[in-house]
Amino acid sequence: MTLQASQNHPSRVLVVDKYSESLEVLRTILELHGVSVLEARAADAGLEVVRTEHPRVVVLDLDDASSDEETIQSAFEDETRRCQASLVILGKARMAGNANGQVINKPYQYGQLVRTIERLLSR
Amino acid sequence: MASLFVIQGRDQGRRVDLERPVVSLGREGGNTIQLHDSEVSRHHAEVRNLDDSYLLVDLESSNGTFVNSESVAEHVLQNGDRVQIGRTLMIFTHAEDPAAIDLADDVDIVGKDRAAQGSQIVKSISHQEGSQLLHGIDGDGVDESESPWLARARSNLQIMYRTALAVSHTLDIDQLLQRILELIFEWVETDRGCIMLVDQESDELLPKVSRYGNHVREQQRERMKISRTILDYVMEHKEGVLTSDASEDQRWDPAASIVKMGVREAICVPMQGRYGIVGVIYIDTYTAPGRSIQRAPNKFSGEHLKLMVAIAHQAALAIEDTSYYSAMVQSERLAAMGQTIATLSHHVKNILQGIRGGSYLIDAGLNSNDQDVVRKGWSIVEKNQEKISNLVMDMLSFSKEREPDLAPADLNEVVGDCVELMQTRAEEAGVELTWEPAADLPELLFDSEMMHRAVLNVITNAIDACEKADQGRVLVMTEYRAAEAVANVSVADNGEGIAEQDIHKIFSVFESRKGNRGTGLGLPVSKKILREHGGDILVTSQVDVGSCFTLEMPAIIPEPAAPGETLTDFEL
Repeated sequence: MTLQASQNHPSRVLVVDKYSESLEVLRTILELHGVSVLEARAADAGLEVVRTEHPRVVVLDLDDASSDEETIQSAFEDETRRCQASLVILGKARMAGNANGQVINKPYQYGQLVRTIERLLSR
Repeated sequence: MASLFVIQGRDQGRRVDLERPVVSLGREGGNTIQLHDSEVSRHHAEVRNLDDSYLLVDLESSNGTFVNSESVAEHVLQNGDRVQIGRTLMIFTHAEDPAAIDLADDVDIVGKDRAAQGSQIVKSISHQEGSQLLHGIDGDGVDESESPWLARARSNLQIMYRTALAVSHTLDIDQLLQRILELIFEWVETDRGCIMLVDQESDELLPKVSRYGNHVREQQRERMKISRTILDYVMEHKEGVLTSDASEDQRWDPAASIVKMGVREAICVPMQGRYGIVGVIYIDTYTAPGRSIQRAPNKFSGEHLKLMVAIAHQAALAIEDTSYYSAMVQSERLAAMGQTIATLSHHVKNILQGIRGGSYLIDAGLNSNDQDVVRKGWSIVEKNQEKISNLVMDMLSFSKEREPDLAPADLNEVVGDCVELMQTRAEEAGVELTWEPAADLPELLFDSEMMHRAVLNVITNAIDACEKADQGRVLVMTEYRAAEAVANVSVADNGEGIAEQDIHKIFSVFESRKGNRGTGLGLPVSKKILREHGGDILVTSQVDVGSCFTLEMPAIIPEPAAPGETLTDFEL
């Protein structure tokens, strides 16, 4: 299993996750495949990383009941569209009209998530 | 928030907040409020939110839309409006602007100096004295000089007063009906009586309570048969009836059941509530089968009929109140249950996700012969096993009232074990966890298993609170105050602290401030355990400085064992 990096951009994935172990799991797995993983534990910090580091794929955990999910989703959609990055949302969000985006409902299988990231990186 | 609350019909107890711009009501599944009522059209009506008002619009339904019993095509809903569509009755509620209802501002309680106020109490009367208005002058008998009209009025007032007392403060409708029937038998010399209520599903009258007068001998009692003729008349005309001689009454067909069953006199009145007839009260005198009909003076009068109508109305109001209150309680209970299930599902889902992540890493590590990855995966699986175990234990602790299983135990040992268990987690979080046991703490009587859980939850909470601190520190101490017979465990952290206005919330169930990590059960469970021990948890906190939780419990010193009482004394 090899993740393809773009010719022009380093193969970088940003994982925005406040608490769960998925951050650790994803970092470990993706690093095994030679992908550089950026981490952010808060939405604001994540948006800043998108602006400055231009990751190819952003994985956003959007299943924290205390957050304003719609506002956060909208901000990430705008920013990833502007930076031409792909967005993967983990949670029960709905994404309309974003060809670069995908929603994966929880609880998900990591194989499915890794394959999705792999596909988005290979574009 | 405006809402519609179904108080009658198959959906009774359902409450729908009118959050959307348009809320549709109808029989079909696509409606915002689907009503299981065959008399409701598929798309019956809708409520449109127009800024601060709510407009109810009938969508040309077959059976119409009614507000406070008036047919409407459109109607701006007011707080308390009764909306009826089909057989479904709903109450519209809309909280007023708080500024507009602060009526207390209009009232001041002024100084105690009566003389300075220029007024004086000229007469006072006790509750007992006031109630004598309903009895005779002397409290029991009747004043001989009183006019018959006044005596009758007083008697009627007394009956209504006792009815009002009987129907107040009851949440058991069967008990209420029993009480009403007993009162009626005290006032009217009747042979039989029965109260029937309208079944909401079938619209049929169903008998709820019945009884015979004490003067009716056991052998004359048989299964009571109530005339459908008289019931139909009362329900159809919505009025009470008195018949003094059924066989001669023009209203009844000679072949009708009322005549055939030997009914001599009967009173049947509708139980008219605010929103319709909830049932009927029926009493009669009758000639038992096989007994010869004898002319006897009438026992029932127009006065009895009037009183029965008034009593039935009071009873109907009480039944409606009780019924709607029960429906509301049921609705709140279902909402709370739904909230609980949703919250627990959320936690279980996160734990499951963690286990899947750990398992995936183990699999990947095994495939790539990478022991580090396997270990990392196993560590995640273990953590989540611990989480699910804690969640289950907290749920069990919270779900039932139980007496602590008091036994002699060492509090230092229990707390020390908790600290040891949490050391790894503290290290991972970069938090320094320090433990200072009290040297003078004697062996005490407490439930060591429950106390272990209570202390563990509070320490876990303290470590999590230090997440954002540069150098997180948690200090756990025990203290024994012999003079006050109190032992306590204090857990102090230099974490983010809790704002004063939020402190009362932290012991509420599912009020976690830790997002996905917290179940919202830990602190409520700990407080419950301490309270079950006769103690409590005290909290002091300052934002950005830290918090201190003190688990305080009565220090009960175990009785010394009787001389010679050792394990070998027990027979196995």
